[in-house]
Amino acid sequence: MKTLFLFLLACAAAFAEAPDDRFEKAKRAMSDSDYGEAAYQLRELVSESNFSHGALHNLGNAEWKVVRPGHAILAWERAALINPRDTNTAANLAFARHKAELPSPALSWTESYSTWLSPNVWLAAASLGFWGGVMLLTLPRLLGARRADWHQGIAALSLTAFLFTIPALFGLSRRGNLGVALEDATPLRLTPTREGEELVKLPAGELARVEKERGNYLYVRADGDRAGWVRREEFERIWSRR
Amino acid sequence: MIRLFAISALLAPALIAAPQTPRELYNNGLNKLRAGDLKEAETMLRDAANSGQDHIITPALYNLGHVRFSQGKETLKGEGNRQQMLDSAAAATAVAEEVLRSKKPIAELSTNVQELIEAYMEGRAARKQLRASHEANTRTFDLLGTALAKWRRSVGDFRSACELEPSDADAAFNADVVERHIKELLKFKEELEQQAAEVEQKRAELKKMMGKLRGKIPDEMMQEGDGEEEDEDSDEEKGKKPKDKPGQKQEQRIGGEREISPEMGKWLKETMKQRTMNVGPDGQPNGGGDSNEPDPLGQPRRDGRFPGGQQQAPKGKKGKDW
Repeated sequence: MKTLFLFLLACAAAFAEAPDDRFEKAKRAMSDSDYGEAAYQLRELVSESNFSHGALHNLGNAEWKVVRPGHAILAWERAALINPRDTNTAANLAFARHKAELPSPALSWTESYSTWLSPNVWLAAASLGFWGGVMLLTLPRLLGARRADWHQGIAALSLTAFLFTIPALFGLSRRGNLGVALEDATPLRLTPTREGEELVKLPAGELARVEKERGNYLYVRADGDRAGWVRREEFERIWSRR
Repeated sequence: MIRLFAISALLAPALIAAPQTPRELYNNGLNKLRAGDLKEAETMLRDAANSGQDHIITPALYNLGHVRFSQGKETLKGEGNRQQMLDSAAAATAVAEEVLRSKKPIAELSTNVQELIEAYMEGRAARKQLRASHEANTRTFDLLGTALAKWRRSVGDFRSACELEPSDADAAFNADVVERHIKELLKFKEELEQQAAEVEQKRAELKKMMGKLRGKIPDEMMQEGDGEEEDEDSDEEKGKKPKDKPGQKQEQRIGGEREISPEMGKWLKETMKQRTMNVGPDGQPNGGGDSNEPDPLGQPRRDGRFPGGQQQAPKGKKGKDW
């Protein structure tokens, strides 16, 4: 029994593709214009939590080619989240929105501010700023050393840096509720029920903000105060919570 | 005093424009429902249900189900007697069939002008009845479509209320009742569709026969109004109104019914048989029974129970003002 289990495990390991292999396959498929295969490989790659800016950007390109604009915009938004400075991703998003006549997302100032850097950088800056400042103020005293002027100067700088990250962190947490309608004519329902009345339909790729959740439904609000319940499988948060 | 006036003048628009809370929307919607203002009630209850507040969604949906059921019933009030409509369509079809049976050979073979004219006039009368039936059917189909849409939405509302609150047996029961009403309506619609198809078929056959008759009747015996009905049908098929030449409309309308030569009219008076429709005793159509009226036992009540008698105001949690 144990042997059989080990054998099956070995087989599974042998058949499981390494992320690099998948990426290579996807690249080859893209260069052969086999966008369906490329999208499949990249989707698998990303679904295994191998989030990288390159994979997501290419996934967006492949999805756009196979005419899945909602999925393409989601992938590009995720890529832009990881690397907000990439002009290609930003250009693709602008092009897709223009083509699909989608409104640009209305972000608050904290949200716009949070797009200057990636979430990792903001988090790192906040951690370093806070703990660096605290350490510089407390460690000399704990270690019995005299607190020098430069200690206080750097502590002040660190804490100032931390203060600057607070609005960005707040903006990031708010942006965590943004999501994308995946399919065209995604219905917003009056109630979170199977037979809920359809109030309005969102085009694929439109951004909306999740306000609450109930069972298999999310209550979202899109541009122009269009709000309603949407099924989870029809809508995906940019900042995936899986 | 002036200051007070200025403050109230500034505050008044703000107070007027203040949006209603979901609770207010629900309560106002319920009051509108009680007052019979279904359109306003629908808007308010819908907004209340769309507030996303769990404790308001279910009762708002429940009452929205009632509003939409009532709207469907209101729509059907303009429908007329169903059995009478079916009977008149059947009668018009029967008359047309009789005309076709007896006059088609004349249209095919006869060269006798008098016979041809007689056949033409009978055909015309039959077509007129068919057209009236066709128009009534079209109107009814529109009403049925509207009522069905409302009732289907009503079922959806009741089912949704039940899905959100599975213990809400009243909502489930009401949904079943409305579904029964829908079934009945669909059954009638099916019957009406069959009748309408027959009416259409007979109209087409009559049109063909009258075309042949017109071809055989000498032009000097035909007058301007004779082709009018044909034209009306053609225009109707094309979905547009007939174009009237300026100054001709009145003339055609006046003579449209019997625009035949005086000698032919005299002859027709003598020879045409009287036709009466068999519509049952006392001039009432056979089949009786006002099938428009929904079974009172089947009417959903706002308290969710269905004994006979008049509707009651919403009770319990669904009807309570906060």
